[in-house]
Amino acid sequence: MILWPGGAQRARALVAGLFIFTLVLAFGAGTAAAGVWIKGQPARDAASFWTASRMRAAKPLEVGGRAEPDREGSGRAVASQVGDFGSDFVEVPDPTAPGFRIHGAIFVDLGFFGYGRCSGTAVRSPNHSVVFTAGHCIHSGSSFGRWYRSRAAFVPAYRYGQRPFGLFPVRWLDTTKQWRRSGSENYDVGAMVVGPNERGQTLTEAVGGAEIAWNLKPKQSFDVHGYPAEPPFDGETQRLCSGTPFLGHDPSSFVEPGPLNLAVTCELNGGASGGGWMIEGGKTLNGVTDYGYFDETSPAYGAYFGKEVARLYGRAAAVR
Amino acid sequence: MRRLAFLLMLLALALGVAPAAGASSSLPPLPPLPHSRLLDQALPEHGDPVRPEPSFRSGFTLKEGKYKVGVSTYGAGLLLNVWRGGRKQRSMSGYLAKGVARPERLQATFGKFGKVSMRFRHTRTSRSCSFGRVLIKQHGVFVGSLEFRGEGGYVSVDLHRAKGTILREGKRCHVRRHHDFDFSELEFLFAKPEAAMLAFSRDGVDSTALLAIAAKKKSTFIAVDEESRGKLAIIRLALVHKPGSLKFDEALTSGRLVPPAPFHGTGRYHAFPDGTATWSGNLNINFPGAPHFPLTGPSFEALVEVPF
Repeated sequence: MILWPGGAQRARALVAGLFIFTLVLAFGAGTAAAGVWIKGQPARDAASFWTASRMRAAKPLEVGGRAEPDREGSGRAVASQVGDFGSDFVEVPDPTAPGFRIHGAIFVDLGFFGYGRCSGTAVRSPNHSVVFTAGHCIHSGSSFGRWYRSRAAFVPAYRYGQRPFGLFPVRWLDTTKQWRRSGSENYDVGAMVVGPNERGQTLTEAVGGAEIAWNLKPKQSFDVHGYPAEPPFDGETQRLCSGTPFLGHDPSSFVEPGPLNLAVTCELNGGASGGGWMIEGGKTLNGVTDYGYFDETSPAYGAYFGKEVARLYGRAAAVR
Repeated sequence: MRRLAFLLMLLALALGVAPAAGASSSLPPLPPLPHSRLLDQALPEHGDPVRPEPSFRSGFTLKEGKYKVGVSTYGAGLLLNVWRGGRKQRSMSGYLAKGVARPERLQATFGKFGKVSMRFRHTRTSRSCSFGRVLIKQHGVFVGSLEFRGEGGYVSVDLHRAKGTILREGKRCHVRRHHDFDFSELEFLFAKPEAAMLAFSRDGVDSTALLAIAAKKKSTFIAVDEESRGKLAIIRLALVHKPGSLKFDEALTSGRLVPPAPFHGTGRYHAFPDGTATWSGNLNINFPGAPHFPLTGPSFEALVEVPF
């Protein structure tokens, strides 16, 4: 038997329903159009959570399961020796130096799955607090994806568990609309807004920030920064591929929606995702690392910075 | 053997002989265009299957001399595909460009090779049930212009009208008949392989892969080349499912590959005690528009697998 409410009951149900609808609408609109807010994460709490051992234990966040190949195994042989992998991704001697301190590592708590990590770059903005990274470092992609927001934090100039400029807890994060809707790698770009560090400094007060550019010609020469964390790297040092030229587009990029992505020669792996691609002598951000393939000669690929990245920057810069 | 089975499964998907599992798409197989990311991902044993979206397919096919030429949407791109041969032996070159890839509108420029700009005129609609989904097939004519001239003029097309279709998915259906699917295509998945070999070479964003799976009755040989040329990607594929030879010594220190046509020549594998190995010989393949395409050399990395 079905009982339909009547009179006052119906009115109360209607009001309650409207209230819930409004909440859902507000929350839904907030997440879909203007990123995701993370509340209640003071820098001191975040800093006490992100101990050196936890940061070291963090595993790279990857796109779609792309990972280093299993080079062990029986019954097979691998021909043709490649030069020392990663030899062009050289260690930055002093990540606290100007021009390098704007780059850092991003850490996130994945709960049962441990801790995740990526790379990111501080970008100048009116709120002094914007970090750019790969979209897959923030959201797993497509409409069924999940946000990586638990205890997310940015550590500029990270080195061997040290936080020379402190730790900046993430307050807000977002990706290009297309990344979180379709998971197209041509839109794999994300941005976060961080809170002040333990000393109360905003991000760009503490380390400065890069300019950001979009709608440029792909044919640029890039300085690629990042914190690769899979062997032979250990994720503890900032690395740099200097002056690496645009190689072309990944043929798979033609199948996905969005502008064709960019390839550069830089031997990197997991953990370097989200690392900044700098132009104009390292002053301007014009790309982030998204993925590479299993083979050691694979280029690094990053999404083209077009109008969707401009929109993302606009949303992040408007966060107060 | 899990690795080999996975490799085979991914290749089956890549070759369009089975519907892409991750695509949640019941549309008939795409043109036999490989997505060589599949080959790449075959090695680490995991990865996402290709899922070109959106879930419609629009285009037409015509015959031009000894080749077939197809123009169709492929994910967000537009593919002009030139191939010859049948299911057991075929070689093709696909030219993939960004452009307008909507059901009723196909428009793209294929660099120096030509361009297409066509609109669809609908005449009738048919429906069928395929792989658990209603398949809505709109028949009609593409009108506009297609100009294409392959490398060295191996194929040349200039037309203004072509019969074509738009395929869309509908709701679920329960008829479990698959008229358009030839399960014999999958037979090599179940044949017990005696040996398998993958040779791979990359030069920047370009890559070439050769896969050989030797079985008692029929072996499978696949070559894929992927090139990025500015605003155009060229993807070439050859597949042969015929008797051929892939033999290794017991120690897996040397081997010899002699596939049937359209492959030519011999590939030689040699492994040294220090762990290095070479993949050499005069093995090459005739792709449409790229004859005598080399499949050996010092840039190739070779991976050998034999069952225990």
